[in-house]
Amino acid sequence: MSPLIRKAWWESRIRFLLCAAVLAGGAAEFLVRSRTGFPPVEVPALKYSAFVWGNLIGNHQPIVFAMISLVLGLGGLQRERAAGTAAYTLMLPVTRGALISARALVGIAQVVVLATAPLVAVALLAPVLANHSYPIGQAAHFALLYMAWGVVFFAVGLLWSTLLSGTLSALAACVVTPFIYLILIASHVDERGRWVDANFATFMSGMAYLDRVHSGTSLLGPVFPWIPCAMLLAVAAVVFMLAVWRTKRQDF
Amino acid sequence: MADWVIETERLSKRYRGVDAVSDLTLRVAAGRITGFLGRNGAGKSSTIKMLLGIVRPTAGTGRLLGRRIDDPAESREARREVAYVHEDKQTYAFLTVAEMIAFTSRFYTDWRPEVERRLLQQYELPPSRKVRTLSKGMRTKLALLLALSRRPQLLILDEPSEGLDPVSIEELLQELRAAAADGTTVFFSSHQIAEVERVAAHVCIIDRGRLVVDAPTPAGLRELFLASVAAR
Repeated sequence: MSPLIRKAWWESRIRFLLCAAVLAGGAAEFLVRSRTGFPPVEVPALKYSAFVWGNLIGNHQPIVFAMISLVLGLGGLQRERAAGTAAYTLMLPVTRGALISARALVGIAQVVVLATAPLVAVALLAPVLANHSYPIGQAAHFALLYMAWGVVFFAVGLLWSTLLSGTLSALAACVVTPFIYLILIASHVDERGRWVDANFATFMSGMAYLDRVHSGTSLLGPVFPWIPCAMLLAVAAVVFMLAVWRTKRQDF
Repeated sequence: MADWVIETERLSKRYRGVDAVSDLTLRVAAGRITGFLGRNGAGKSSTIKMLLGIVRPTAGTGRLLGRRIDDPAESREARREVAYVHEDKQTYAFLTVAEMIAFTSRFYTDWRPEVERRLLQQYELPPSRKVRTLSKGMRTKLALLLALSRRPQLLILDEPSEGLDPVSIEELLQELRAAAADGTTVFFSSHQIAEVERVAAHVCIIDRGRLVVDAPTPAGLRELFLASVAAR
């Protein structure tokens, strides 16, 4: 393994493991509730897939995942400057682009794991632990929706980490960014659904792509938004390039 | 090897309206120990950081081992041949001493494991201890070990004796002499005149960002230093 990749992992592992613990705790709690509290007495006809959607995919989950992805993007040379190690790192015979690329590779892998693991775990364990089933294909497709916007937010976090030197200011930016973005984008999403993919909460929860024929299932329909996913990855690449550009011009 | 390992031409750095380094034209010859003297805030660290590509010059140019310091690709190539101990002496707090050594050694082909082992023993550095638990002096020794375990063309040290006890300072000065005898050019900044006087063949004195002395180390370095910085 490249030493820069290992360094990026060492630096981010505590943040990653904390985020993983939050999501794993949520999934475990959901599995326990699936066993004892499903179907809920107030909605006895609720489908299990809709129960999964309401607890692990929709509602506030996209905002939580956006914040997690942003936080995974923090760290880097500004943080190292505060810790007094930036000069040591920059003395290594590698480019600044290589340093930030290693962080990006590790961070994207972390986003992929965090987007996938809870849903796939529920799909695999629900039949065993709660006597309910959730299609693993659906879990994988919802995970892709989470990944697409998760990578964008990770890239934004990376950019914040190059712009803001203080740990607290960068963290605060990560907390408020999803809310400010939602406020800004709300005025652009019209009743005809244009710009709907630009609303990360709607996109990640798959609201615009749910199966209309079987509307009570909250499962994704046959048309998966591959093109919007690709466009989001392109947006993430542009933000990443901005972070590299900024880093190359900084003094440490 | 270039005749001049370090060359700068009217190198300047300005931070928020304050000149840290001003029109600095400096040449450091290969194969000897050069002391870089100046008071606190004189511009020594800014100069070194510009040479290594850590800070971008506001104006002027420079070459390190014949490679342009303002070209990222050339700067990276130069850094392969340079070992550097920076003023903070901080390394990654989340690693152990052994992990820090293993991490650093993977970047360089001139790593000398036998020197690493000797210095580890000499400096009494505990390999399994996390860097964050080391004292300031021990962290300085680790930073020195990471630089001295290599056999670079150029060794740059920024206030290397800061935080060291007198015995360790003596050992450090001996290491610098040994490195120079081994063909490594040594360029070290300090405001400890006695240290520079003992090992440096040549001295450059900087004051308020400007080079005021560039000469073979004289017998009365203290007097020369005081006279050159007081004259301004």
